[in-house]
Amino acid sequence: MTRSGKPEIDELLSAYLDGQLSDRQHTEVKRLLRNDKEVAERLNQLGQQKQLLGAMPIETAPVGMLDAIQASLERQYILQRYPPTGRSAAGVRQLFTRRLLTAAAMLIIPAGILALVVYMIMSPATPTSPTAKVEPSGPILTANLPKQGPLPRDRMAKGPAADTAFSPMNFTLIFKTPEPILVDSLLKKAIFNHSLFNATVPNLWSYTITTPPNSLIDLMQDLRAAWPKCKGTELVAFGRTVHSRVEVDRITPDQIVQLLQQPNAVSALALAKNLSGFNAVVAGVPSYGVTRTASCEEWFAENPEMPVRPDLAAPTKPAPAKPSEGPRATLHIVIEPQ
Amino acid sequence: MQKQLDNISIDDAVLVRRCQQGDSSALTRLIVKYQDRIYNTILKICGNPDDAAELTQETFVKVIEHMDSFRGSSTFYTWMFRIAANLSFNHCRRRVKIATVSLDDSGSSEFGSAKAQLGAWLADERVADPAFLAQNREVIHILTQCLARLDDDHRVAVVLRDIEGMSYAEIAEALEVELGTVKSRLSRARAQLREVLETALQ
Repeated sequence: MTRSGKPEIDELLSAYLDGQLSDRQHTEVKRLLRNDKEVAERLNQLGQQKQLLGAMPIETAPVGMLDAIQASLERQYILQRYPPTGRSAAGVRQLFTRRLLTAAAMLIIPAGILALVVYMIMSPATPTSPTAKVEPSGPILTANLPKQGPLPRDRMAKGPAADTAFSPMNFTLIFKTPEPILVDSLLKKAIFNHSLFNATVPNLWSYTITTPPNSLIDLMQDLRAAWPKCKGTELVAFGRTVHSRVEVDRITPDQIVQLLQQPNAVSALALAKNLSGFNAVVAGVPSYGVTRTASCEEWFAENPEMPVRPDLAAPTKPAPAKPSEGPRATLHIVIEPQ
Repeated sequence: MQKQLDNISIDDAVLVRRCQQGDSSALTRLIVKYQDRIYNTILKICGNPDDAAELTQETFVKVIEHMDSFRGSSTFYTWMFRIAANLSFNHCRRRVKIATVSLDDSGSSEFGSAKAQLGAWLADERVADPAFLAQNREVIHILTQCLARLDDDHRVAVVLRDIEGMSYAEIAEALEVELGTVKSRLSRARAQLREVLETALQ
């Protein structure tokens, strides 16, 4: 075997083997090979070595590489979302504020109770009204409403419900999942498939989609695949203010579609309230999912004491969606890694 | 290698664009398309299957993380190999022992026949077909150990050229060096490998 040749000759030969020489250099090397046996032997050695390396079999990646990559990404995103907590200056400030607020609350609450007691003793008696009561927390009308009767016009015009009647539907859907990456990709895919990029504001683990309700109904069809990947789902329906809100635990895709099919935000909020009760009761039935097959509508029929809004009087036939009518709906989707 | 590429006809640029738009199936296809080549290249650079698996995983995670910043100024293929090469370089620097890997265990009797075959081949006796020779596990082991003895820069250059089959321009792009540097590194790498092989076979 020949020992390594001169570096400049080696470089020429190496490039010659790879076809990287100019025409002039190529001719020179050919001439050299004809006249110098040692150079020809060196070329042969380098060529053999190159051939041997090129013939080495390709080692395949270990099985499960794809899953490992996915798991690694999930770990990384979860770490990003929940950074290690430290005793930062901001944290100390927040703790101080909370303590201050707690102390203030401890002083104000007894004073408030005392004031209420004094008021009840001192105030003149007034006849109670049998009319509908508006919940302080939201626009949902509950007790004493005639079940099938129309909604009083004056309340539609003046109460908090009036605010939501003409405001856009606004929902927050929360996916609580141990597979956030997968749910995220399903969500992205659904947004992609329905060409909703321009209507979507993405953020870390959340998307805000503002579009006509019909588009959201279509989107829900694709999003059904996310439900089996979640430990829990929750929907919050908002009115005009953050105080008028209804939370629906264990929301299903069909229920969201029903909500989106409502003609306005008032009826959507009312339906959300009813669904909230329905889902809570269903969750308490241990055999649910095995033997219970009652639909939402059947449940309301079995529970006549539950308030039903006039626009939900015939829930078996949901109100048809009217895309041209009313403002757009906003669906804020949040993925909560578990 | 080519066999795998032929199975997936969708162009990288299309897949990358779809990935950037959030299509996870496109991402899966890119991983499936390149996982073996990246793993094989990293394995030849770092010499350890476990490390190679970990680095391959890390490469794809980095690729996915920075997918949005990929603007196509280079090809996706060389961009991805640049990430893989950088990670492998860092790994080699952390584990200096790779460079001083011993060839002693290849002196055992089970390597005797492999050494003889390899020696005959390198002595130009044409006793075996290179493809046949390269199927021998012991021969592969000796070659891998010899590659591990090269300088990092040289090893990466020769792996990308002779094993991965990249062009000089692609190597220059992947390693972010001049074309002339690729030429000289390759030449030195081949000469160095020849010396290491001759020493190992003595």
